[in-house]
Amino acid sequence: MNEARARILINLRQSIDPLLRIFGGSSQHPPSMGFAFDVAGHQIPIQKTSLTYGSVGEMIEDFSIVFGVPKYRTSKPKKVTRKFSFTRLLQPIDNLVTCPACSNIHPSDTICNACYAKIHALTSEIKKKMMNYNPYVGEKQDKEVFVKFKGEPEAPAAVVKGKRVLEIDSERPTWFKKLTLKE
Amino acid sequence: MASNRVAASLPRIGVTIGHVPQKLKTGGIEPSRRARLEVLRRIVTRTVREERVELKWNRAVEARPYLERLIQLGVERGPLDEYTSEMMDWWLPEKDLITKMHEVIVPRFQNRESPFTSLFRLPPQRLQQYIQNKREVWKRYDIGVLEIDGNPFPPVQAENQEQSNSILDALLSDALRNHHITLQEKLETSAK
Repeated sequence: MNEARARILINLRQSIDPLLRIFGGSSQHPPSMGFAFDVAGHQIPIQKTSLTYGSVGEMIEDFSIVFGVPKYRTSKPKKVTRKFSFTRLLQPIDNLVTCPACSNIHPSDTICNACYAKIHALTSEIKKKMMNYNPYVGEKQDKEVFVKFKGEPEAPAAVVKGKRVLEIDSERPTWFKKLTLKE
Repeated sequence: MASNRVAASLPRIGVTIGHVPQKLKTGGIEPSRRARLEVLRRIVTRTVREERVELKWNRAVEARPYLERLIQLGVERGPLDEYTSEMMDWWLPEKDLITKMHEVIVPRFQNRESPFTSLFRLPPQRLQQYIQNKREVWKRYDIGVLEIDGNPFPPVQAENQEQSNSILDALLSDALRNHHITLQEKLETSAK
């Protein structure tokens, strides 16, 4: 009877103490649920189980068995497809042409990017002037627009034809041709 | 009903119509069929206001036929037509743009064949979006330039200049030019 009770106590102590050692730090506690006098008469050496760790690294190393791991081997075709399928292959661009004006290289179905950049800049400048009206006080874009660059003489009335004249602060670029009477 | 009536009497528009309806999504508009039209309307309105706009390529392709048809309605039917004014009212919610349409854009195309618009494609552009933990995130854009013809801006594509690199072409064009000049001089001297 006495012997059985002693064994239960020892079992309890063995299951609780390692937990305390993990969570309570490295300081040595007295064995839990111990009597003032030892039942067994001497300190039972606690078995070195997997629950006692010296460092965090050790613990993580051990815990790795509960992390998700592949259950089956990934087959060769799957790996090869993942690495080298048609979405991963680099396709050659075979429709490149050279811009006749600035010799910039661009795809044949597009316009030249470098040429468009300066057109874009001038367009925005003219557009800014063109948009400079207030529709909320009844102003409208009810006339065609005539662009007059800095340093240009006043155009004759036959050319302007009653259009709204926008004056640009910069000089006319050489590539932007003048409006003539012929049209 | 109304659309049938129009399709029967108006000539074809001279632009290609995309074969797959694009899903035009925009922030702030719940995606639906109606939202698609709202996005198209924004694009058409903006194009009429600014005359040349840069859009994503698929949007430009999608909006171009609508814009073309709107201009065509103005050209063929005039501002007094009931259906035209209905369409103008819907597609151009800003009323000053209806004036612009009838007084500026439509008169340009009175004696001209469709297409009234041009669409150019820019080379695909990679633009940086943001940097996340030293990782640069780039995005690829296909951009189209949609414009109404006869605008005051510099032409997107320069006229074909004499750009031949062949020495024979250069010499021939020079010889022709010299010949014309001598002809002119002869004519002037004979006139005197």
